[in-house]
Amino acid sequence: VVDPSYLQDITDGDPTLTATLVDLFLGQAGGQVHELARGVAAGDAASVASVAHTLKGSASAVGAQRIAAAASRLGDAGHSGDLSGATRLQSELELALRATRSILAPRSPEVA
Amino acid sequence: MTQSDVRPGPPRLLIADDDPVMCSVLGTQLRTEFHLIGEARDADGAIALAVEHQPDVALLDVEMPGGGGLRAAQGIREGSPRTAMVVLSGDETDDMVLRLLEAGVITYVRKGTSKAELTELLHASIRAHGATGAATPP
Repeated sequence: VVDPSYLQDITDGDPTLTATLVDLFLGQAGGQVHELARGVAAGDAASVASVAHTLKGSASAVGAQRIAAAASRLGDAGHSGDLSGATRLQSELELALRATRSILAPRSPEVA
Repeated sequence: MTQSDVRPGPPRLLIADDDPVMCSVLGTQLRTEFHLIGEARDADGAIALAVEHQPDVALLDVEMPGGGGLRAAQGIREGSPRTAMVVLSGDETDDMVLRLLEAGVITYVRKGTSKAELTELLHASIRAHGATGAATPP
């Protein structure tokens, strides 16, 4: 779900920097997942592709690998313009976010 | 770059990405090796900061508002030719990366690259840009 070596590498293990980064990432990712749900429901493939691309990038950067993979699949659907399977992909992304939050949230006092 | 262009202290870095998480990740990763002169969220902001501060290196996201990394690279090349440019790509096969390289960008790096690799790549880009001379505005 999460490769902790990424955060360790970025912050050198500094707990304050780690907490700040985790808080920022989880807060932003939560908003993006909601935005993607709205895009999927509205059939807005361009919006889905754009938001999923951004989420994939930030998730990759912090080692949130399951989110990055799920966002990548959803982004591919958006790019193709075919959102027929996007509801299932959106569910996978929401599960990935939940799993990631359960792992990373203890590192951030703001997201519990 | 001439001897008189060499400035003391750590290399000066500009980060341009519309994703606050990416800016924070990069700023944190590079905080000990570079002096961050500013963060931009779009191409216009990146160009303005580069022209004002003439950084040694700029790290540019491919997909930014205002024309993206390509327009930012073209503007920086013209307004701050001493600045070496590296682009951030989330997609290794992105055709845009090739166009950026043609616009004077030295190389590209994928998001999620380790601190050691990213640091070395930026230093190498500064050296390469200095060795070949500042880019000539088109």
